[in-house]
Order: sequence, then C-alpha cells, then structure tokens
Amino acid sequence: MIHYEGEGICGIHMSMEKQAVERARTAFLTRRSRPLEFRAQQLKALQRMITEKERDIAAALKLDLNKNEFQTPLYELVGLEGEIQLALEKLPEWAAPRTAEKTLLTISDEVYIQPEPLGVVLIIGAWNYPFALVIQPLIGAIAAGNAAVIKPSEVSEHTARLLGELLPQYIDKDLYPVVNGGVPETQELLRQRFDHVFYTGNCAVGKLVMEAASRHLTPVTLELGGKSPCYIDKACDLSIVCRRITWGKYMNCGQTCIAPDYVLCDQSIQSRVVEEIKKALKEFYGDDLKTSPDYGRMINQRHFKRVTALLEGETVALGGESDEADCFIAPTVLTGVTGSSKVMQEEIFGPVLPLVSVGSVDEAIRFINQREKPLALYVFSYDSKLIKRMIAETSSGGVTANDVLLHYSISALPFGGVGNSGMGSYHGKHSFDRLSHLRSCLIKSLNMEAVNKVRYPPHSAKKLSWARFFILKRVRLGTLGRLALLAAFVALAALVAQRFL
Amino acid sequence: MEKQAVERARTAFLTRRSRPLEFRAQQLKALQRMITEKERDIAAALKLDLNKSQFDSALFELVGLESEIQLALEKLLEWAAPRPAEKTLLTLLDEVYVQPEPLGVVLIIGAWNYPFALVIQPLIGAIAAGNAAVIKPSEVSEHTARLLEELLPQYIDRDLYPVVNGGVPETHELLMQRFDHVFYTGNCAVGKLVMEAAARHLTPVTLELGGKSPCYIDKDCDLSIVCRRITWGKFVNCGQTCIAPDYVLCDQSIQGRVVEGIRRTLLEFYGDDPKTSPDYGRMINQRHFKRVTALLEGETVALGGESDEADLFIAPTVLTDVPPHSRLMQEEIFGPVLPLVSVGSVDEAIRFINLREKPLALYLIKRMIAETSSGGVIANDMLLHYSISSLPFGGVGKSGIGSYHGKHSFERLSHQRACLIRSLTLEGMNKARYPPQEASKLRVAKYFMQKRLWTGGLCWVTLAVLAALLALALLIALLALILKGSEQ
Repeated sequence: MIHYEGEGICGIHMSMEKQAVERARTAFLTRRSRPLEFRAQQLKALQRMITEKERDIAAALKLDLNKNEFQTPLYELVGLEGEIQLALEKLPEWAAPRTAEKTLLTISDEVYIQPEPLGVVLIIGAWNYPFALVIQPLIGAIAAGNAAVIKPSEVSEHTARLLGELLPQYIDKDLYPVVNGGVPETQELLRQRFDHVFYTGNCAVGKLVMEAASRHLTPVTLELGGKSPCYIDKACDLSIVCRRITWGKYMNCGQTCIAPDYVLCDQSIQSRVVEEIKKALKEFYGDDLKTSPDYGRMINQRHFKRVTALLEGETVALGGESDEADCFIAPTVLTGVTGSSKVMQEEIFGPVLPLVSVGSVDEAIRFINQREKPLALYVFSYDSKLIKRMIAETSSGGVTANDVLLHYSISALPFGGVGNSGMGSYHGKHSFDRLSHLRSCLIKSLNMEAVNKVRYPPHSAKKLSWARFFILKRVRLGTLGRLALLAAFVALAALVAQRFL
Repeated sequence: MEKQAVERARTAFLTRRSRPLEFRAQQLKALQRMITEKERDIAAALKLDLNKSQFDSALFELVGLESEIQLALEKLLEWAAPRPAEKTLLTLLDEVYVQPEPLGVVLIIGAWNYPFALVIQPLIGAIAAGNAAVIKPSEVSEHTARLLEELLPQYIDRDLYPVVNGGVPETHELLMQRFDHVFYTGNCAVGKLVMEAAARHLTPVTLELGGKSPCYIDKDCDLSIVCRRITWGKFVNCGQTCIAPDYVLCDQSIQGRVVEGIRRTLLEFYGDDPKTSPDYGRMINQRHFKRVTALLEGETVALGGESDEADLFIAPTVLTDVPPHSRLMQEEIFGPVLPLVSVGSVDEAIRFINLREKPLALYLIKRMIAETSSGGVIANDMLLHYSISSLPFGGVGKSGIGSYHGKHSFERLSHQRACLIRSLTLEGMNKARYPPQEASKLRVAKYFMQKRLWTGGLCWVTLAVLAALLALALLIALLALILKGSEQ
C-alpha cells in the first residue's frame, strides 16, 4: 500500500489520513450534513447503492469469506435495508426536540432536550461482516447529522476495496471519506481528533482505541466480543435446540461475534447433542460440506492456524477435518472440554463447538460468572423460570432464550456489550442517540423575576424554605393538566345543564 | 488499602445484596436521613473548605440531593422494571424487552467545589441502579472529605460503599484497579488520565469536566435583570462553579451599563464590603488564589480587583475590553473574575464561541442555540438547567462524556440488556433461514425480517380492525342484554 502524502493548507506535509479527516471536518463545518432533507437523501443513496450493487457486494464477500449470493443479502444487506427504512421514517421524530418534565420553578419555561450532531465520527469496521459492520454505524452517523471517516478492515480486503470505490459514487465524498490501509494507517487515523470513535473488533485493539481516544477526550463505542455461552436444559427437544444452535454456530464458518461460543449441558445429553448437530449439519450442508455453497471459509491462514491449534489435545466428537490451502475447517464438536482447556481461554471465532459438562443450572451460572461478561448469552429450556433465573443471575450484552443470534435483528433492542464485551450500543434509534449529543435546553423569560428572589443573597431561613418548596415540589403536569381539564369540563357541563334545564 | 476497599466492594456486590429494590430504597432513605440529621456538620465542613454559608450549603448542595433521592425513591420500581420493546413480525409471539441491570462496582471521584453534592449525586444514581461504589472525595476540600469518610459508613452499607480518602498517589492506585464504571468530576487534564487508566480495563467512563462557558448579552434587553442573574450565577461560591458564566460577550456600547448593573447587584447581594458578607465565598486554597489573581495582570479592572491572600479572598471583579488572546481567555477562570469581551453582532459572537472548545454550558439567546454546541444551554438565566432532573447534565467534546441527574443517572450506571425470549415451538417459521439457501427462502426471510409491526399504514389498519372488532363486540353484548330483557 503506497503511503501517499500531500500538502495541507499551510504547505505542511500531511498524511492522507489526516487530510481525509480535515476534509470531513471542513465539510461538517459547512453545516450541510444537518438538514433532515440532506440526511434522508444520503440514506436513500445508500439504499440505492445496496440495491444496485448487490452483485458486486456479494462477489467481494464471496472472495473474502466464501459467502454465497443468498447469505450476503440475508446476513449483511437485509438488516441494513431495514435500518435505512426505519431511519428514513423516524428521522423527523428522532431529531426533534424532546420535551422534558418541568419543575415548579420552570413551569412557564421551555424545557427540552435537543439532539445535535457530534461532528466527525470515525468508524472502524471488522472483517467478519465487513459490509454490514461499516454501513450500519454509518447509517446512524448520517441520520444523526455527522460526518464520518470510514475505515474498513483491511483483512477483508475485497470488501474494503469495494467500499472505497462505491461509497464516493453514492454519498458525499467529503463528508464520508473511506480510508483504507493496515495497522500504520489505522494508527495514524487514531492520532487524529474525532468527536466519536466507533470500533468493532477485539478487546486488545479495543483498549488501544480507547486509549488513543482518551488523548482527545473522545467518547467511544466498542463492539467487542467474548465467549458467548449456550446452556441447554436437559429436558428439551434436542432436535430443535441443536438445529438452531447449528445454524448460529456454523454460519460464516463460526466467525460471528454473537455465535454461541461453547455449550454448557449435562453430561448425560452430550452424545445426543452431538447426534442432533450431526443431523442438522447434514440437513444444511449435505454429505460433503466442502462442496456446499452455503458453508463458509476462514478469513485467512492466520485465523485458520489459530483455530486448528485449539483442537490439539481435545476429544473430537464430530468433524475436525481441515484444509489449509482452502482455509476450510469442517464443523467440529468437542466433548469432555473443561474450563481450563486451551479452547476455553479465548473467543474461538471459528467452527469449533466445545461441549462443557455441568451438573446443574447453578453450576452453569457459576461457570459463566467466573468468566468475563460475554456479548451474548443463550439458554434453551421449556422452563421459563429457569430462563429468567439464568438471566437474572448472569450478565451479558444481550440474551436470546431458545434461539440464537436473533436479538441482533430487532432494531428496538440496543445491541452492544458490557464489561470486556464492549461499551455503548446501537441499532435503530440507539444508533441515532449514540452518535448525537443530547443537549439540555432551558429557555426562560426575563419576567417572573420575583420568583427568583428566593435564590439571591442575602440569604435567610425564610428564603431558603421557599426555595426548598420550589425545588422539591415536583409537578406532574400530566395529572395537573388532566385535573384542570376535568374541572373545566365539569364547569362547562354545569353551565350547559343550567342553561337548558 | 485502596485495593482492599475495591475488593471488599466487589465481594459485597457479588453477594447480590445491593440488587433488591427494597435494599436500594433503604440505602437511599439512609442517605436522606444523613443529610437531614447531619446538616449542621455538613454546613460546618463546607464553611471551613469554601466559606459557604449555611444557606448556600443547603441551597446549592443539599436541596438538590434531597430532590434526587425523592425522585429515585418514587421512580425506582419504574426505572428498574423490564422495558418492552417493539417487536418485528418474526418475533411477534416472543417476549422482547430491555432489562436494566447493575454494572458492578462504580468508582466515584468527586470534585472540591461542591464537594458534598458532587459525590453524593452520582452515588444516588449508583445505589439506585443496584451497584456498589467506591467513593473518592477530593482531597482539596479536606474537611468535607474527612466528614464523608466519617458519616457515610454510619448510614449506608460500609462494604458496598467504602470511602477512600487520599491524594494523588491514592487516586492513582485506585485508578489501577478494575471497575465497571468510573465517574469523574473535575478538569480536562485529569479527565484524560482517568479515561486512559479506564481504557486498560475497558471500563466505561463518565467525565464531568468544564471549560469556558460563554454568556452572550443582547443589546436590547433589560440589563438590570440580566445583570442580576449573571451576578448570581458568576459569583456564587466565589466563581468556583463548573457551569458559572466564565466570560461575557456583548456589544462595546453596553459594557459600561453591564458593569453598572453588576455593581448595583453586588451591593444588593453582598453589601458594601463583600469580605464581611456571610454569603460571599472564598477561594479553595492558595494555589487557586494565586492562579486567579495572576490572570488579572495587564487587564482593565472595571470593578473589584481587591484580594487578600491570607483570607483567600478575591473581590467580585469585572474586566472590560478583554482581548480574545489574553491569558485570561485561554483557561477556565474558576474564580470571581468576569471578563467582558466585545463583539459587534450575534454572528460575531457565534463565530467567537465556535472557534473555541465546546463548553459545559452556554448562556445566550434562543436563536444562537442551533449554531453552537455545548453540554447544556440556558436562555435568559444562569445555572438552572442543573436543577431540572429530567434534563441530562453533562458535557460534550472537551467539557465531558456522558450525563446524569434523575433517571439519566440510573441509566448511565446501568447496563441495558437486550432480551429476547422465544419458544421452542413454531420451528416451521424458522425454515426460511436455514441452509441450503435458495431464492424463494430468501424472499420469505426478507419479508419477516423487514416488516415492522407498527409501521405507518399497518398501524392504522391494525387499530381500525381492533376498533371495529370492539364495536362489534359491544353491539353484540348490547343486543344480548336487550334480548335478555325482552325475554323476561
């Protein structure tokens, strides 16, 4: 990658990254990203891009991750179209001033919260859903009126290149520049000043991103990962449970941040779990997985080696085959895995599913709580009390009970992590709020100065007790309004009755 | 010792006793009792630290806290309950909700200017949200710090909410520990260090910082009222308020009248000699006294300017014709010195403000709001947005990250956990998503994923249908009643 340097305004050599950021900031300062019409127009352009270039996007994703023409729309694009639609519909509502409850002291004033753009947002994408994980935050950034510098993951190089070509053809190229590159370019970007940094990826880099952001006091959203546990209650219809788990686990060759990482279940059902997964795999991918158009590949050799190394010394109950040249790892299930196994020390992010024995729900809860808070938690049971208990006694970014992954697809639910699995959340309105500044506004008049007297020196006990009254008395305007209305209605009714009787 | 306190708090949190709403309410009521029973001691400590009068203490530190506790007690059930969220067609029959949860152990680092309030207010939020909290008062306001260490364990759970006092080394040691949230009130420089330390553990932060909060005065307004409000906001606590109007922007032609207005108000508030007024505060310590008096060098003093180092007294001071590049305009003043900077128009004022870092507060006329940014904004008054708990209080850019007060404190110190509870039936609906994939399956999947329940047209249709059904049911019931009546 040629590192291009150009001259900035003062004739000083400026890196390409810095130039892109400065251009975005200058464009933002023209205020053209603010009008709702502009934001809607850009979102519609994004929508057009997705529709018109679906083939090119699918082709890039096939080269990067062996995703096929159906998986791409299903897992990358449909969600985005839903988000764009939602944003277009709700934009006036989201961007409007939000009334806030007044105090007695401010009863005749305007009290509201005004959402505002933050400025220039840096979006750093990940390689596993390389299109979606850049476009989805971008939708939020645009909807909130920001400029955004987009840095796709270089690991998914075909998609990165495509984004660099496509985005400037459809959306404002100064407000939303794409900056491609590897580690040095990302570091250079992180040295610049942004108004928000949105990063999707792993914990180690997440820490570096937050550290870099701290130098400018820039708020961050970190969508990280972890080991998402999946608990299976003994008394379950294992065929359905295992089909759902198989779908979520082996999609994209296990490279999904909210894939069930490992299973916790009673020893006595482990072999049936293996059997059912085997059946589901056959249903999904046929007899020869390698030839199935629906089965993905590891992103690159580094991750291929990382995941195959995790199999060493483990009991392979299913799968285990691999082909380095093809970055192919067969769907694999391991049994007899303990908490101290190597495969249990890091997020697997591959098509390997360890089954860990636990004797009871209590033991499962203890196991989960001994580890870092995961991005997702899965629990399968007919017993809703058990499900509620598991939720109440653990923590995670999100939870889906009796299925996997789906909480991701509901835009009303905030999607994000907690603890090591991340900070902040997005999707739907949450994206808009996350990438806005919610500014408190109080518009008083220059009248009613008499009321203010209680706050001015010289102070006295009497003034203080009045001030206390004004501050502590909260007004439920809703009830007050309703009572007033009722009183007026009764008065009117009495008047009418008197008149006509 | 710091590490021990944190570990004790974490162990206490893991017993889950901070979670039941009854416990949280009990702790909040205990805090309330502490404020009521120990008001004198609190006022005494604040007098020693900042020469606050007992009324100032009550007004600016305590009443707001009582209000917040009241609000939390009243709303806790509502805030902590699961919040249903809008479903998709695919999840129509499922439970979809957001469950607020405690984060764990929160570190609260207080500031010295409102040393009681700026520790207790975040603590209210932390307790309401079910967390444990390690409290680190500012060592600069030493009397209040010592009092907090004595009082809090007498009223609230001492393991869940330990107080750790100390200076820079102790704070540094605390910041090396792992927390689930760090809540810091103070200045930008330390704010960066706090965030950097938090980054090592991927701990989210709330930073309530500061900046130079501008105050624009329009030529055509009742200057007597304006000046009274500005005087109140500026000189309370001897100018040591994070949202005090730092400097004034106004037309050259009204500067003289502004000075006059402030002079008259000062007389009203503090009498002839502010030094003897029980309501006029003092600088917190020598370091800040020297810092602020140094800012006066070379400036045109229109009012005040007197100072007494032994008493940490700086008279309410107004400076006129302050050039934008003067030293005074480069840092947050945080003292009783008010520069007046000339601007020729609203546009010039907006430009001036936008050339600088986003402040914590902006005081201006309504039409300037859209073209500027700040943590919060008030037109025609000072400080008051702080006292409205429905408004999120916090900064943006260099003035801070995150916000709190009222429900916002609860939200900030909770994890909003997305929950989807499905059933193990209706597997037929899922078929469209499973491989082997094909075009027809994709169409079905797309339909279910994209269709939202309460979209415009669908919403009205649904409501119309429901209304019609209801009307029909009522009609049937009515007919049934009539028929029954006629039978008899």
